[in-house]
Amino acid sequence: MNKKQITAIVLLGLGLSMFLYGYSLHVLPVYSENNDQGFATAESVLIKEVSIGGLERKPDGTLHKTYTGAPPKACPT
Amino acid sequence: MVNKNKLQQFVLKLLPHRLWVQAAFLLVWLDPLAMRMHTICSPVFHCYACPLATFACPIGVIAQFSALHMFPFIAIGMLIIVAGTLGSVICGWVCPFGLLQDLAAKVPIRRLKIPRWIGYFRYIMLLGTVILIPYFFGEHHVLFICKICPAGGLEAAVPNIVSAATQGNPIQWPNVIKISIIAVFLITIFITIRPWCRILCPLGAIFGFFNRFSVFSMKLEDHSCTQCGRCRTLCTYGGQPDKKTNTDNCLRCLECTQCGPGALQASTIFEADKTEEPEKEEKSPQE
Repeated sequence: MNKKQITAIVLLGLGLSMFLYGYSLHVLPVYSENNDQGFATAESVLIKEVSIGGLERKPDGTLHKTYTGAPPKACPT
Repeated sequence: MVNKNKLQQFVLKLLPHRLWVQAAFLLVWLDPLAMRMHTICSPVFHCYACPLATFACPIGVIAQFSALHMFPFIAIGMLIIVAGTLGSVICGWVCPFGLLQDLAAKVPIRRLKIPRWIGYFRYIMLLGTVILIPYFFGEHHVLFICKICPAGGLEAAVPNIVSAATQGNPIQWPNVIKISIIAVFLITIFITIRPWCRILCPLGAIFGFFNRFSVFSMKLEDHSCTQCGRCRTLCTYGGQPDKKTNTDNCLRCLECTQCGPGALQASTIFEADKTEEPEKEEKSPQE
């Protein structure tokens, strides 16, 4: 095996590990707009939330939803 | 004439139909089944605010995650897998925004040639508008990628205006910056070929960077190259494939592999290794 092949295999392994970790293990607490309760939310769900501008980080460092009830249809930007 | 490997033979069969291949991929990106799977990132530049978007845009997701101070494991992991396998083949064959620019390039008018070094702006876009500005200033900064993205303007703002107008709903007009960006983009795609991809695309920067490491690889047989310059003529993006293959500026449209002597071939890093070994054995007795 040459250097190129080893680099490619290492990169693909790294990418696959990150992808699997993101999908299966990475969760973050997200609080509702009213600040009452935090729910452990999977990264895949976070992706959907950010795609509609549904999340914001408060000055205290916690993640909050920007809406209650029906989610916005599309990203506001 | 060099013996063509199986991958190259397949590429040569597909090359005349490249636009159709790009168009066929629209069936994947434009959500024909209305599934709207926005928990998954696509590997292409297609705005998730578009009414017709199957997946989430990886650049938008990375920028939004950066603004929220989170690490996007899924988006980055997916990009490393795709880029590490194919490099910028995605730009040349799969991306819908590339297709739009390739269609504009079919209009037979004289095009402005742009220097290759200008491609480094893509890294500035990636680092600046996708990572650093969102991280330090949040999504409300005027240079946040989604606010200045022409794909967002064309694929989301324009369709949403048309949709609101036809349904009789109040129209939400984009700001002056966004309208200007859409106008500039629409003009420049007729001035030069693939301006967004070659100068500013942050996703193209990632794929281009991986060209040198990816499993899919361009192979130049030095001893077969006759320096005829045909590959440079075939490369409409201003590349010099006979000088250096697998550069970060290459969009891997693979048109250059049609050169007469067949010195340039689509290959893989594993295949390149197999073909190099017998050549060395043949040369050794002469030395």
